[in-house]
Amino acid sequence: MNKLRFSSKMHLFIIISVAVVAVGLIMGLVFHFTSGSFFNWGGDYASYRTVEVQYSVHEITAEEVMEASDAAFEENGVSYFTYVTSGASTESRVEFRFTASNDPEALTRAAAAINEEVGMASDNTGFATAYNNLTAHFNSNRDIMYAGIAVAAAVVFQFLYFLIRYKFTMAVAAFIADVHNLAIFYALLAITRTMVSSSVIALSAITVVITMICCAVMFDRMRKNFRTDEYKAMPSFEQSDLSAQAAFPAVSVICGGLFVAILLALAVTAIAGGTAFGLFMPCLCALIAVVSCWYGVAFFTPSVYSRLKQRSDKYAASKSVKYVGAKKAVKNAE
Amino acid sequence: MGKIKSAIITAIIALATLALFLFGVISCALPGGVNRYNSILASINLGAELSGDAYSVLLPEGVISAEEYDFTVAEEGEEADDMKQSYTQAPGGSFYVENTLLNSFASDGTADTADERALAFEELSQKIAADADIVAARLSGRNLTSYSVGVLGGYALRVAVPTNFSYAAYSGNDTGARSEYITTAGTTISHLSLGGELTLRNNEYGVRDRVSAAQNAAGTTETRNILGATLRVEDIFQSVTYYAMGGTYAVRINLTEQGAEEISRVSAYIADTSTTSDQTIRFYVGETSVIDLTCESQITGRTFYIQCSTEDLARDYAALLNSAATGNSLEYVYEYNDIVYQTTPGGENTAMFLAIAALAVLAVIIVAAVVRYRGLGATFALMSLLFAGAMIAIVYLVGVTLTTMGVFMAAMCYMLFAGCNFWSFEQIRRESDAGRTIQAAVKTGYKKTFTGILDMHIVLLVVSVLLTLICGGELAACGMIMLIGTLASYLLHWFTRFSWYVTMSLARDKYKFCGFSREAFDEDE
Repeated sequence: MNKLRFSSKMHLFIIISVAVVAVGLIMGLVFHFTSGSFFNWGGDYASYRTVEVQYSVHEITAEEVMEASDAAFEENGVSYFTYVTSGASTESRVEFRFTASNDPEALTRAAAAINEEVGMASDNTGFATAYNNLTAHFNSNRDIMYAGIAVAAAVVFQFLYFLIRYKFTMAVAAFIADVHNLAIFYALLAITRTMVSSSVIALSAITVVITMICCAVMFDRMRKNFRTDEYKAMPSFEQSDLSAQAAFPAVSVICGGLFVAILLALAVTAIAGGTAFGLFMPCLCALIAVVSCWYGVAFFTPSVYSRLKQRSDKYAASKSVKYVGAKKAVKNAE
Repeated sequence: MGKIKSAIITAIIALATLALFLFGVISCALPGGVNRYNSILASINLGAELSGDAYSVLLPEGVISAEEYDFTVAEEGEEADDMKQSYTQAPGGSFYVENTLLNSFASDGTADTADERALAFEELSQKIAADADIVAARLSGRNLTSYSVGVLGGYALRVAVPTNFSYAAYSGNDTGARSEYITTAGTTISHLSLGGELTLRNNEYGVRDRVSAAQNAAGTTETRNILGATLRVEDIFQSVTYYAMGGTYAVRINLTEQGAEEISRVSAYIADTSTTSDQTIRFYVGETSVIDLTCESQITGRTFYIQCSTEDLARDYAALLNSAATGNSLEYVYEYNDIVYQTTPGGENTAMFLAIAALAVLAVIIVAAVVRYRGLGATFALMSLLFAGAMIAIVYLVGVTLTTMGVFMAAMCYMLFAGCNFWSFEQIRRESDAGRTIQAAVKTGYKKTFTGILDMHIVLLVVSVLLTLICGGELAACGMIMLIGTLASYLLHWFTRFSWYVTMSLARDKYKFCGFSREAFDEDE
């Protein structure tokens, strides 16, 4: 078993967590006031500008359209964050998406340049339109709200379940772990400017789920330890440390297993190259979620729980002191 | 267990599992090369980020695209001259707006000055943005895994919904289904962008109104508004919801107290064949008939159902009618030319590589299990294939739409299954190392891990139920996958124990079979 001592390091872990959350908050606020967005919202949520190019596949190839478009965008100093293709057997379309910070005038100039190029190359069958007004997307506003309610309900359920199944202090510690891990997860998203899409909202629920599993493993270990008299006689800090040390490998294996699985998915994404880059951001967010959970449950929670346990033990001791001697006899008689 | 009995049971389990897994993941051409077998995995509906979406640009009446304007003007002639006189270019240059529409915003009825036109464009743009909000709310109520509604250039709506292609359709191996999916997506867009107010209509009973006049002008049957001008739809309807039971799909209409009285009175009249020959209450949104209710008797309760032919239609109608019945009607009637399928922004092979990543995780865990637990690892590998096959089959049967996070959730459930089994195996190894017989070690090991594993599964089960019931769209789908995965994990955890018992009976050295060792004690000690 490892010799990690978590109980005495609570202040260190609190400082680390507060620092991460504070940096995340500051970075989020800075971006909120400079570019109008706390998180780096993905295409699902953020408004964007578009330039749409329509062309006849009989007159010009998709590669030529892309080449002409890329050259026009570069010339006008704008760059798109993604593009989608569509179309039937004869007419095809490419929609280039730009963040709101791109200059609308530059986009119009680029669209005119593409028009000229594509028009010439395709015997005037091509047509490029720049939709410069913001395309305001309303995707899932209500879904985010319901996801928040579901995650909150899950956290409350976990608290109640742990309260019934384990002890009050454990339930409180698990509750703190949930809140802490979510805060760290969102702070890291704000710091790393990882693109937040609807998948990330689902990852909030997964963060809570991983936290619940790891907390269940740790407190199950503690509950089993409490069956021995030797363990019961230990000071609360030692009790916490011993259980946390025993649960550390299991928690690390759970988080490590997920981490390796996500790395595997990232490796596959890398092999796929540009044809599956949509997997990259969700995988990156999932890695952040797993790291948040591992740090939160393996390090932060045992240290916080040890203090809760210490206070709880003191309270229990002070309560038992109230009834000694004659008072105890009266209480027993009652 | 006897070796013959054990061999027979092992063979049956192995064959059934392999058959399920192979039918689950392998697609192939059938002899003759005409037909093709598409696996269960290839038949599951995929979300927009895996298979792309279908979108349409909706133009309000009186607005045309710059492309259409330029095309007509370039043709020259009377129509071109008419268009030049009738339309004004909107700010941004992407659209042209009919002058009569702009005039409707001017206080004097003519937007002839630059200021008046600017103000008219501003107001038009605001109304279209408000309509976009309503369409977005309708799509949210439709329970799609994703959707987007954008205001394009300020004067058109761009509505996108997932095509929900299966991988077979997406990859071109099921072209018939592909066009069906696009038609369904188009129908959803067309239903949920219907403009105008909700009215209940009958051919004979009721009052004539603007809609019936328009119907006459179009040369179709005249219909009458049965609710009259004094009642608002919000006073009649409480909500409209989707309802499904045993393969029957319907919309459930919930009425207010006042609505129940009114519908009871109206339905009594319409159901009476001696007073009217038309026994139908028609639900119109604007000038479009959406759904009909045939009244064979008086409606007395506060709830009634109207059956629909398909699940998609029932969901469309429920979302549309609920929005219109609660007073959220679109200001304009929108028109669109075509439904365009567009590829996923995440790359065309995202779905395939996501499946490869999931299978790689499965393979890595199976190899690790075989290396560490030998024969027991092989039994676990069989159970892993059963888990994967069962997950694929149930997700397909339940009709859950698979998204990236759904696959991630399924992989997490598999890791839960693997983790719980490995935890039990390690506990049993410890018991075995301590000198217990293999039977005693298995019994004690499973007993020691029982509560922990049960706790984890209960917590996950409740969380998955919460996600499924409270959330909508992608999260609800994730919740459903988590629910299926958690149940499968717990049931197969115990089935693994049974399979272990069966397969171990074939082995001569049971410790070697499991990759365990047992501390040897001298008899003198």
